[in-house]
Amino acid sequence: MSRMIVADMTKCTNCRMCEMACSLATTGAFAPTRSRIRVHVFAEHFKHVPVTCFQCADAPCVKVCPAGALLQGEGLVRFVKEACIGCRMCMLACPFGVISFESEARVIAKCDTCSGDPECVRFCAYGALEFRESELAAAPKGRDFARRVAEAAKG
Amino acid sequence: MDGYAGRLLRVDLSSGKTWVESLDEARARRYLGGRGLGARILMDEVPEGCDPLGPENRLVFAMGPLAGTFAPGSGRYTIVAKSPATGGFGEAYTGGFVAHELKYAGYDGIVVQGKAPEKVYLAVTNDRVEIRPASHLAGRGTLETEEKIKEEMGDLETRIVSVGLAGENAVRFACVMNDTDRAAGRTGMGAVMGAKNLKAIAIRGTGRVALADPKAFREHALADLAKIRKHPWLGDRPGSAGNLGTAGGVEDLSSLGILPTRNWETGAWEYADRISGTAMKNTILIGRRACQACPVGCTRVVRVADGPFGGVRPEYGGPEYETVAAFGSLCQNRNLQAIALLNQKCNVYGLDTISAGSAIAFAMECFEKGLLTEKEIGFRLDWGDPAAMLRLLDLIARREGIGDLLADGTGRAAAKIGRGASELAVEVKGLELGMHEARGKKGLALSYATAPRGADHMEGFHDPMIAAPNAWPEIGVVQAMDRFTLEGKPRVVRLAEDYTSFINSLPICSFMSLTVAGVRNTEELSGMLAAATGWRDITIEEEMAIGERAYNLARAFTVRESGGKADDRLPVKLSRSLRGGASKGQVITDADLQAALQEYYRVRGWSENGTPTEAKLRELGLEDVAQQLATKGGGR
Repeated sequence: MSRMIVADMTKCTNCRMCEMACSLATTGAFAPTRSRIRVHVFAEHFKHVPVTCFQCADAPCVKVCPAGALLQGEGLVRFVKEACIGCRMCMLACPFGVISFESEARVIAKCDTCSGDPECVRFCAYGALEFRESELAAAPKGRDFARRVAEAAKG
Repeated sequence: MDGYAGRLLRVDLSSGKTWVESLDEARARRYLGGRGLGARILMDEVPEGCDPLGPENRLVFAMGPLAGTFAPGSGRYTIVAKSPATGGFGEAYTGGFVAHELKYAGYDGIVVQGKAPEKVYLAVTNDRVEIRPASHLAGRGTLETEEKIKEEMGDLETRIVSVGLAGENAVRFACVMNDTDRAAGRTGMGAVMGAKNLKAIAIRGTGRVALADPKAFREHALADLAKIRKHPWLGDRPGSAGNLGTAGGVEDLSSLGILPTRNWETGAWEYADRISGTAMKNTILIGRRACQACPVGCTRVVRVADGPFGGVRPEYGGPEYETVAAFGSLCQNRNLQAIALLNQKCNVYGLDTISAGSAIAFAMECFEKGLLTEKEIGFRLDWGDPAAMLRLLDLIARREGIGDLLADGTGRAAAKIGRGASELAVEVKGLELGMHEARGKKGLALSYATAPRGADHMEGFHDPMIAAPNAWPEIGVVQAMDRFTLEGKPRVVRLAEDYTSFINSLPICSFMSLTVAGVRNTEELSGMLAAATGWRDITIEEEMAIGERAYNLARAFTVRESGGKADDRLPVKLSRSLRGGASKGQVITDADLQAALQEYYRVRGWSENGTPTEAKLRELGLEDVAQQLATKGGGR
């Protein structure tokens, strides 16, 4: 079973630890604009939405990459930096806006789950990010909902 | 310089010039950032006796070496200026996202001087700095101002610092707002900003913060995070600050008899449960938010859609403890929805909720005692009437009618009213007390009396913290002490103030520190500071010295500006017996206070009149400050 990063926007408090942890792990310094996970805020609705690569099974970025730099891997879309020609076709193709461009190196950047040990998840103090077995990814949300039902039903 | 941008942005609004000044490592290590750096700049650059609302005053926004990182609680910065409320050292802290953003833009702080000929805002995008017209933003509320400026910047991620109508009208307790719901509340920093015709600062930074040793930094941060998450009050569990907000303890304070009620008449209130964090959770709360890099998330988010106190929106956040007490028990108002609306109005106008609530409570007591009449006010101002409170708040922000009098703070208002009104004004040096009853925690009284910015609840310590032995062995506080005594406390006050002053110079949120919340994380903080900056030999002794240096600088500024007289006193009300509750009958007599003051001055190395001595200032490497004070009648 592979694992995936699962976000729960009801638990996210917008502290941005994930962005800072990601940028430190991937660039060696704190630079949230280079983070591969981003928190989007809709203050009027009180919603904070963490978004990172969903590691699509039928990934548009893999299909469109002319250099073979994006490949289907074990439960994730693998990026081979050395092969990247910096054309940014993948950024156009990605429906979620989770591929960014490194202007100095002139290559793209995307989440690789820190090789199966994601820093963003480690630094999330609120349980808004979890790294879970894919098959079990929806389980906590289901349980949270069931708890509300149970509490309402207890009378 | 690792951990720092090594640069300060300088802005002269009179000439319209902006430039970059370098911050060298020697200066950084002596003053760190936040309070230390701000106080140093104030002492160097603000001419003695200058008008706090004049062009000569400086308005300093000071970050520090941890801003921009994931150090828990590092989303914090300090605003420093000569205070229009006290005439002495003015300073306010705020969280949110500005501290990090400014570091990413490449600055450790902004120093504003002069006065713009017309209303302007400062637009900072990395190295691009512009002064832009802001007359179209005059009088606008915080959210409206932020939305308009974000549109003009063309970037929704822009972070904005601004003043509202209160700052523009020079209300002496106007605050500076950022990120819609965060307030740099105390000592009238908003009035200073407004007087400079500076409506806002917009900041967008896309750069990086690099550290000397990122790997070690990460380890210390993880260890600190683990301690915070295990902490009984900061960790995420029922009753914690994240769960119930800072107002979670309202009922407990009332049962200890230390919930300021009815303008400090009593410390126990039968309706405490109507305004507490639990009440909030059960009624108007829709969730919580965090400042940048915070694992606690004490910010409340509330909504009141309609009804007499409707229109409370999630963007403006919800009332924290100080606000709940100031607009609740202090005014005997038991309507939590009204408190939420009063809080929102303060955030729209840019008003300090502590001083605003205190001004209203003061006016209510004046009304009760016939010192202010219905004719003078324009309406009845009975205890606990939320509709009247809302009307009065509007008048204060607009400086209309009776609001104009109260906008100068309770001390000045009382002096104008006369006829004994000063006995009802609960302030020190012109700053109203935080919502903490010092008759029931007497160590705090000493900080109220002596702190550089006036009656300051964030400087010293809250006595219940040391009710058990070995509270803070890291800084030499091991003996348990009773909350009702002043005996032995001056030494503890000094130690707590010095450590807090270090925390305030980093600065990080005081909740994530030893002396405010009892987090035993001094090693992790030293570790992060060392790993960020490369100062591998930093010790807690050096940190205490940094804190003491900053504290003495702030104190020296206040002493210098008050002509050498420290004005260390307590409000008359604290010398009267506390009515009702578990702290009933408690009082702080002048004899007790004077004895404690002398001991405190002695342990601080200050003269008998409370001036930092030349010897003490030399010890701290502040010879130049000793020279500035030499003419002020300070002791040798």
